[in-house]
Amino acid sequence: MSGLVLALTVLLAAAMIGAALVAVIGKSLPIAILSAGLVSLVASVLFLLLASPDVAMTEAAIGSGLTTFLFFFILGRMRGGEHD
Amino acid sequence: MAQIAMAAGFILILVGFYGALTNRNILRMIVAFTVADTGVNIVMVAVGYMRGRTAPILDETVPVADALSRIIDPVPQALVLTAIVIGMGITALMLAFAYRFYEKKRTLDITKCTELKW
Amino acid sequence: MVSAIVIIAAALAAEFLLGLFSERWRVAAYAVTLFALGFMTFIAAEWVWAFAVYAAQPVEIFTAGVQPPFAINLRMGLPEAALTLLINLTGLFSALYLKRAFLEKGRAAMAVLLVFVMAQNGIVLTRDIFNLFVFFELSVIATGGLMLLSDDERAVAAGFKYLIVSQVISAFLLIGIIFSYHATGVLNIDLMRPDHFAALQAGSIAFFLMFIAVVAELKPFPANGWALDIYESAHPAFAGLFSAASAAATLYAVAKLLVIGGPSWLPIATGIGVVTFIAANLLALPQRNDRRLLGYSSIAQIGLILAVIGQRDILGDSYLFVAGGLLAAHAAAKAGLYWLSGLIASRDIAGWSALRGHPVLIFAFISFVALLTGLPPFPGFYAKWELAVALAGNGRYLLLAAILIGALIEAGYLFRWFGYTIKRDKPVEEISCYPLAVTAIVAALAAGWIFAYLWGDLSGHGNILHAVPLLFALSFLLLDWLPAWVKNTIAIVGMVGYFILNYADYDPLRLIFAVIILIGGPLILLASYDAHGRRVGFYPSAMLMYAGLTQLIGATDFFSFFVAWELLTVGSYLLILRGKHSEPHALSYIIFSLGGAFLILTGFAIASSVSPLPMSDALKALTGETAGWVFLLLAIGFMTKTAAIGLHIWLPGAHAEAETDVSPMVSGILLKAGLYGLMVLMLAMGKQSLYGIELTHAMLYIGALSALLGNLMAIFEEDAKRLLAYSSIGQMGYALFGLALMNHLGWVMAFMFVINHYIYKSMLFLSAGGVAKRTGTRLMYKMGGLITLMPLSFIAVLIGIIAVSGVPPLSGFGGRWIFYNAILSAEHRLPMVITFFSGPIAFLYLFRLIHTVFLGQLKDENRRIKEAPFWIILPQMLYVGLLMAFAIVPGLALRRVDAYLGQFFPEGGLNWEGITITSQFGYWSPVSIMIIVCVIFGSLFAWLLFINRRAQKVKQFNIVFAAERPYRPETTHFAWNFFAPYRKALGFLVQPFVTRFWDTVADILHTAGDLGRRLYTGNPQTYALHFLAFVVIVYLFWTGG
Repeated sequence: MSGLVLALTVLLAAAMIGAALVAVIGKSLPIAILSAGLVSLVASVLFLLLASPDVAMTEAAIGSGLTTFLFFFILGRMRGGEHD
Repeated sequence: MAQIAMAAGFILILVGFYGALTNRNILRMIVAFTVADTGVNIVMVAVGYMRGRTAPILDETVPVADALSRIIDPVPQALVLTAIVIGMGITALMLAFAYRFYEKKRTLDITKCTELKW
Repeated sequence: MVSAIVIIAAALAAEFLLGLFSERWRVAAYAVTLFALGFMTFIAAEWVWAFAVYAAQPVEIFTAGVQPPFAINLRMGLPEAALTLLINLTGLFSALYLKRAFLEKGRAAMAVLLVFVMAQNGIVLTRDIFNLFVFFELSVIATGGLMLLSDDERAVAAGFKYLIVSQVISAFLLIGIIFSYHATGVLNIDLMRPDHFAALQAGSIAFFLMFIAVVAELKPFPANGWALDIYESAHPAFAGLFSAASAAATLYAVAKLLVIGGPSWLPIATGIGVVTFIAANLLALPQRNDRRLLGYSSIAQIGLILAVIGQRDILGDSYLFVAGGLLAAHAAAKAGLYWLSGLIASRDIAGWSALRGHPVLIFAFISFVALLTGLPPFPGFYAKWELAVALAGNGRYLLLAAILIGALIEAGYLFRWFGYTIKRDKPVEEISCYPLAVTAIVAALAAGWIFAYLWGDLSGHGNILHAVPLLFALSFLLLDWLPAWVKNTIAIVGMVGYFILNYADYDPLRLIFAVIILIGGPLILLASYDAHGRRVGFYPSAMLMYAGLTQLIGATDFFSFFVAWELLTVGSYLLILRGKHSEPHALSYIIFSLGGAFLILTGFAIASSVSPLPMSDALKALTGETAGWVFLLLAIGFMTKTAAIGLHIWLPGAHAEAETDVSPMVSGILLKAGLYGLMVLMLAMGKQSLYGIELTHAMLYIGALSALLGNLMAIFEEDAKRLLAYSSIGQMGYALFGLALMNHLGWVMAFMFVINHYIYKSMLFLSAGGVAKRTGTRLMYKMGGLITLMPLSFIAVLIGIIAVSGVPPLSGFGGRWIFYNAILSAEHRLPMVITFFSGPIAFLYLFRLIHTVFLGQLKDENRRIKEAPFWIILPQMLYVGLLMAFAIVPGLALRRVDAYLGQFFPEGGLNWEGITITSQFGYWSPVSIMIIVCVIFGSLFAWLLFINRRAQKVKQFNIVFAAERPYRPETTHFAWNFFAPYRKALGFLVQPFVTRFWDTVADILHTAGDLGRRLYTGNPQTYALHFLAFVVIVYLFWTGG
């Protein structure tokens, strides 16, 4: 049981780090924003595993949802600047 | 398990800061900061985790009487909740700055804001 | 008594209320803001009153009704009350200043300001480290928000840079906090202890991260680029608040953390603080933008207070007094200066000359500068004194030296700025006297002076503001609207009156100085009756100088002596600054003076930490190497004031460029302050050696060289007043030589010089000034033949040069005679010879003075001039009389001095019998000499008149020459380049080595500052990297040391 959890944790960690690298190094800005949202999502699953359900909910809502929405909102208002 | 999570958190922080300090596009910097913030939050929760214990919610499964021996420390979770919200607030503020910056200069390049120096 | 948490609650309530208002209800919103800030100030003031007057105990406020560690608690104690009062008061006045901007921007800006002030209050009051983090983040958000709302584009960029770096810092802070929690199990500051961290592996890293993050909020060097742009581009009202309030709060937060970490962290705080102090001041040197300069200065001051917090272990109970004093001075001054900058259109520091014509604002500016440099009577001075004594007492000399060097650099750029303000041309735009802004500035000014009084009462040394001479000087500030002659009369009456009331308290040596200062001063002030109008600023400065001098000779303990020393320095600086072209010279004067003062401070600190006795006894009690060092420090400090060679380059410019009635004051009286100090020092300590070198022997050489080189440099001068100034250097060299002989006659000679020099130098400066007034120039080759038009000036100068040169029958001869007696009984030969030679050299320049100005042919442009004004002639004639009297009866002054000196130097005294004075080598009879010389002179003069009665007058232009017309008229004037052959022969001795040396020092400092400032490239990512580098460097130091 705990072996399964351990493997799951490692998988999640790897996914997070991969997504983070995409967010930071990736070429396209919308992809980067989505990757950052993905990082938050995976982090909230990790929180669940770490016995913190309320933190998981908050992270999912704010980190994944609200922040990604904000980014796209602002991006939408700026035309032509995201290709810098 | 907590150690893996903590390690992941630290790597996330490093990746995030690396991105923040090397990217020239302001929006990418802010994205990188959110990644770093997430990393900090993971580290904080991981510190509070104790093996074999469950979430700090008192209900039928965890009666008040045995709570002390069965739940993990709730304080780090409270701290993380606050930190998440504060991080969100600062992200929003930075986005507002980015917007203002773009309006004036029509570019999102951070190296263009160096009129004040020395 | 309202609970302290209401401060936070009131702010929150106001912020929410503002959110509910409509966008159009701006005036109502502004009223709510002001009311909230006012209420918060009132609560804080109430608590301060309770602690100060009723000695209340600190109160804990439990926010959840439960005690920590289960809830967050706040504490309201005396430091918290004082800090919150400071923060809220500054916030209130900032809000007043921002009225126009707020009504434009709307309620968002007002709410954000309230958040900022609330956050600072929270940082001070909280006792929970996570709560601290939350309030820090609120502070960051509020600052960012205010910058975002600004119209200035650069402010937006500055705010963004600020946010970027603070993100990095908060990450470190959070990790530090969580691991600290892991180590200690609590979040409460009072429950966390150093041993908790020691128990956990890597526990100290947890504390390190937390600590370094909070320290980084103080913007230490080099991690300070991110805040500089905010100082430069924010609205000045906010910049002032930012500088004063967030400094207060964050410093207190660091102090709280240091309690958790334990005493092993104090040296790191000190190290970071001192490096920041010196580096930021150095980088401020090349700044031209006023707000950026103030930003660097803020960072420097905060660094200094951090260093003081790090010295908590040796300061003990007085640590709050010292740190608080420096903080209070910083807050009042920075807020005031930033608020002043809002009135001025130009951003260049030279543009502040627009302040001229607004005396209250100029007074505010100089008060703020004095607050920052720690001059009396302000709190920074008391703090500096306590700090110096504590550091010296614990052997931390390097730290003391570093702090004083940083302070000197700071004084340099601040006084340079003040010089620009007073002397540069006014720019076209007038200042905008926005009434609320002026109210805020006046409030800061008042706060500064109230702090001065308060810290005086709290210090153990007596309140500086209670001293009568100082109060007399300050009263002239209120009387400045009166015409000059009224103030002159009040000044003269005051000084003479003070002398009459106090003369019995002085011993004979001090009595001589007292007469020179309190009777001689009014004599010179007679010349000031010549001025017209009101002469704003002259009397407060002059009386400040005289107050310092008066208090100097009355001082019996180290503290009062040093207070007096600094007062006279400031007063004389302000006086010298009034001269038309004196800007660079006044700056050079104040820097040298403050440098010397800091050396004196160090000497006094070392001496008083050894024994708490009054001054002379404490100095006598010193032994061994300590005594040698103290002597050296004090001697060099005093010699800076007498312009001994090597430290003299400020004098010629300062004395020459000063106004006509100021030059006699500074040359005739002020230089004696240095001699007085040396006198006290040498009477108490006698001969001292350091590393085998006998210090008084070295002083002999210094005195001899000063005499020689001063006189040599004088003979090549074309400017009459510069000539006299160099002459003063030479004369002070003689006096120094006399004191350094350390025998009875040497000291009598020195005192004779003190009296003589005062009389004839004042007289000569007055004549030179009078002639300059009439001819319009000080260059001697433009004069000539003035004997017929200005006979009284001629007589004065003639008597003067006879006295100076030591030719009988005047008093200089007596001095010469004593000098020869003194050296016959002394041990060293070479300095003797050097001094001996400077005598004839002196005669060369004296001859030049009278010949080129009064004799020779009259120039065309000077044909119609009159004698110098009456009020300038009158003191000169009085001095002539005094010189004659002193020549005939020197015993009037010297007899008691001679007797008094007998207790210190028992052998070699003079025998005063009737009208003849006998020494062991010979005798001197002034009356007989006078009679003989008068008879000889009279008979020769009569014979000359007799044989010339049928002489033929030759007209001036009855000359023939068959050569070309000269195109540079001065080349044919006999006075120009008068001593060309001497210059060829001896000119090598007067190369400006010393000037070049000091110029190089200044250049190096400026270049270092200029190179250093390039660190701040404007790129925020670089600033974040600076922070990371800072963390790594401090970590390496911490683990290594």
